[in-house]
Amino acid sequence: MLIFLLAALESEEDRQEFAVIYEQHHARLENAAMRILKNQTDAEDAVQNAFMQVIRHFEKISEISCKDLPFWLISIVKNEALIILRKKKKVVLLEDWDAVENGVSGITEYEELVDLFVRLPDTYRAVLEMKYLLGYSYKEISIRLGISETAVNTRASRGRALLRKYMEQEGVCP
Amino acid sequence: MTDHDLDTLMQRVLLDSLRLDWEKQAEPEPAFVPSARYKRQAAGMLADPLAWERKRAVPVWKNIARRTAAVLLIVSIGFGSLLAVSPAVRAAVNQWVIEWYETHITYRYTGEDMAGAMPQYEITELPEGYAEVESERIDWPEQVDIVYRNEETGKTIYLNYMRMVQGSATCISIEESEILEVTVNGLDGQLFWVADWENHRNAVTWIDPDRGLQFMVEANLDKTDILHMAESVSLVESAK
Repeated sequence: MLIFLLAALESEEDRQEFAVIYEQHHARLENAAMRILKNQTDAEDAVQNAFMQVIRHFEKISEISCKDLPFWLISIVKNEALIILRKKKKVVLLEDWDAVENGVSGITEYEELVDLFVRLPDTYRAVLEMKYLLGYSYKEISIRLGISETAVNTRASRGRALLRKYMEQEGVCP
Repeated sequence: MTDHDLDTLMQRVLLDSLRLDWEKQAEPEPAFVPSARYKRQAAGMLADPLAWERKRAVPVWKNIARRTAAVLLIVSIGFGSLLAVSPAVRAAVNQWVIEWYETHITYRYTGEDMAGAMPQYEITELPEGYAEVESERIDWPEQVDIVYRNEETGKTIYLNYMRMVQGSATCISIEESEILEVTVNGLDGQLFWVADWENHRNAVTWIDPDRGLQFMVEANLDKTDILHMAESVSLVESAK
């Protein structure tokens, strides 16, 4: 573990950058965790686990634009909160993908597409965020979410297919 | 549209959906009110992110020599009933609960909070070539981390001691470790040992119930040497 950590956060400059990231964003992450977990201890664990991910992947984090960084970090803490919920078995997986597909006809604007993704079932969003934003492998995602790699693959493929379908059909661009 | 284009667009859509979701949310109820423990952890993280991450992530050991097939819960005499792995452990556990799981051990304190400033301990018999690295020392109100390093070999020895407060716990991974019951200056503890100690740190932990402190020494040393060092941990100042 120490091998990949040595590449980042060793210099004082990196530590200061990390401190700035913490000061600018910790309140946002704490609120995000609390919204999901509604428990102080669990929310603290989720935030600290999220910062562990930030430390482990600091080289990548430090390359993200200031505009996008808050939401990368929110994605990390949301997924850590989801993992805690799953471990406590407080989450019931609702896998109503058909409802998503059936309810999205007529999307013509990019903002509508974004709103569609806001309404994706939690596990689908978690898989897509872990894969496309955080760069986890299918195996890592399956371990973290406690679902099979096949289930991870299915969710990622469906999300991707949904995006492709509406990009090609509607010619919607951001 | 290429796969790369689709991946890029997926990232964009996901980020924008996170932003939109965030903008719609009201303040959480209940509100996030950081605990004293959380604030201490944050201070430690900011002081040295790598050391904090290393400490928070339990160590990985190899060559499993002992596993528990089920949870063994040791309850202190103060609580009446007892499921003990070892009478010696039970005798040492006054107001502590030690939970044995298949992959880790949790030391959980359940007694009254101990008051007062943290006493100062040091390893007084270090192996040749080791010296304390002052810049990596962490002094928290209820935990002290001291780092000793041999600059020539790059090997490090860690001394950690913490005052347990109500509800706090220490978790130690036991995967790929042999666990030995030991005593350190008459206090009961456990040695987490791997044969390949030159490449993986061994650890010994013990509890001083009178002072309400749990100690841990981690080092690339064999059993005899790490126990000798543990026994040399001495009080140098009663309160800072």
